Amino acid sequence: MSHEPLSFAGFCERAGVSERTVRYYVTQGLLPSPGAGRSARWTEEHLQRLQLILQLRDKHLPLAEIRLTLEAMTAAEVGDLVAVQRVEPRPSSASEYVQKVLAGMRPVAGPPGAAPGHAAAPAPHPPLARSTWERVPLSPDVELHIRRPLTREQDRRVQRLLTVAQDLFRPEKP
Amino acid sequence: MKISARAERTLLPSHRTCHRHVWVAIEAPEAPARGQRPPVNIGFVLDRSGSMGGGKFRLAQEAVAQGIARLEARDRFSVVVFDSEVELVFPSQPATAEARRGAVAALSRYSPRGSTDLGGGWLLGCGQVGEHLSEEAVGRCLLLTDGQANVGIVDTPTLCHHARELRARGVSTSTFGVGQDFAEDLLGAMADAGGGAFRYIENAERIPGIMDQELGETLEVVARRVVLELSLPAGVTVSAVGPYEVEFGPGLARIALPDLVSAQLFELPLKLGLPAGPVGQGLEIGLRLHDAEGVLANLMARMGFTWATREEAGAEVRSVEVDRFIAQRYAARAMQEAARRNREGDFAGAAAALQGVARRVREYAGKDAELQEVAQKLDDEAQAYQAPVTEHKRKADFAASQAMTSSRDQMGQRARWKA
Repeated sequence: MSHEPLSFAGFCERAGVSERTVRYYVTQGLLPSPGAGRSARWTEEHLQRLQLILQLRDKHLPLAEIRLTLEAMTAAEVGDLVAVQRVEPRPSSASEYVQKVLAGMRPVAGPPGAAPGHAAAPAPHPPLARSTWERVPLSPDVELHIRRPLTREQDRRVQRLLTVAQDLFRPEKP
Repeated sequence: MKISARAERTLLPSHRTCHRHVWVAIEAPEAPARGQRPPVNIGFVLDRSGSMGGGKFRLAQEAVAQGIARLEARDRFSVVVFDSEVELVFPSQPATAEARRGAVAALSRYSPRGSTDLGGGWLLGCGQVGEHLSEEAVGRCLLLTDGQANVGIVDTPTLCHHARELRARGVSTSTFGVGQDFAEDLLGAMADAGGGAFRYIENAERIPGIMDQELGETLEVVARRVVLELSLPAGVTVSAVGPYEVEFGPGLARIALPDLVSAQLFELPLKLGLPAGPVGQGLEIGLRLHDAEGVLANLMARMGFTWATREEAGAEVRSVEVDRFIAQRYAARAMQEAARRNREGDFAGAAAALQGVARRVREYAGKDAELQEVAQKLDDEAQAYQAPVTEHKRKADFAASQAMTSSRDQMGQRARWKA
């Protein structure tokens, strides 16, 4: 890993974070100022701090709390904590999450901040076609599931089935 | 700007564990002068299924046009429509004058047709918000529908799971149900899980006005990603009476709250489980707020409880103000439960949910007229809910109760400590 200071653009690219977000963290006091203009130096320490910010943010810690946490830490402590936190993969952003869901890969349920269960490389195949299921509740505990489209004959039989089933489960009059 | 916490009683019986309810009230600060609000990133998601004909879709188009006219170039917006197919009408862009004109023109080319892939449309809208969501922006998806999800993802738990996950990633969801055919329990649950509002629009003419209210409140957000943190002594547990999940850590509990708007009064009922202990000694619970920008960082409160003999604890005078607040929230929850069961055909269960809370309220109501009225109203509603109720009654009752449990008024607008 190079320890040469980076340009702003290079720093953002290396961190995988937008320039706007990095500027915001500097203005909010989460990242130390790198200096002004051409003398600005984005160092390994900045990078480690940013990584820790992202990791803590993904655990849904408020930025104010992250700032307080970072203020009390030395550069070495930040590095140690980044290494520990790195064991847990970062959860996806909202748009990545949606892409996975729409591709038919529902991430595993878990508390906010938990890593999605399908964070591996993108699927090599095109997105799966979504099933179109119709649910027909018959009672609080019973429902029929029908996958559409159906052939005309199947549809006719399903309509007969529904008529009988709804009659069977009609609530009794008191 | 302040936070306060009051329990209905502060003496604890020394010989056994017990429960106490707490009324937490948070007064959000007022918004800074115009021009200093955080940018917003809005996803408009409109149902264009066949049932949206008869003027409803035209009013929804009007609502979007009104909404984006309120945005500034530093905001972003996107527009999605869905029927059995999902279409991205206008990808997320900064709300420049040109983009605003372009979106209105693009949306005007759509008309109602087909069935309802509510889940697909909503997810695409959230994805558009998330794709360009900057750290400091307020991300919100506004979903308007008049029907039930019948294509794609249709089950409530899955949609709520996604709403919760997206909220944790900065995109909250507000839902708008139009007319009598939508599933209020689905839209209500999505809004609860998504950290937004659910609004029932009985008359389509009100679509633009109600969407405008919600967007207006989004523009007034002063605190995002708000978390209430409680420091808990050993043996103390906490749960929220309402649609808020509690996460526990060592010696603390965290409750994620919705974004707070300017001068909002947010009230939260909590139920504490408290241990037994030596007479004369006590325990203290701390409350502290966090938010993304640290606007609420200095807001803290403390609550003290003292162990007493069984007789002393039993004789303590209850706070009737706290009792009334807690009773109203339990009543609202029971009303939601009754509406859900009535919809499912479980009429006996619907009535029982209301009668159970009425009975418990009477146990501590004494001669307080307000508490007796809460109990009586629940019994009256139980009579109505033991048979099928009209779609309008069920939706109106559900929406009003849902508004109360999420600290909004009967019209669905956030309560304010300062007009």
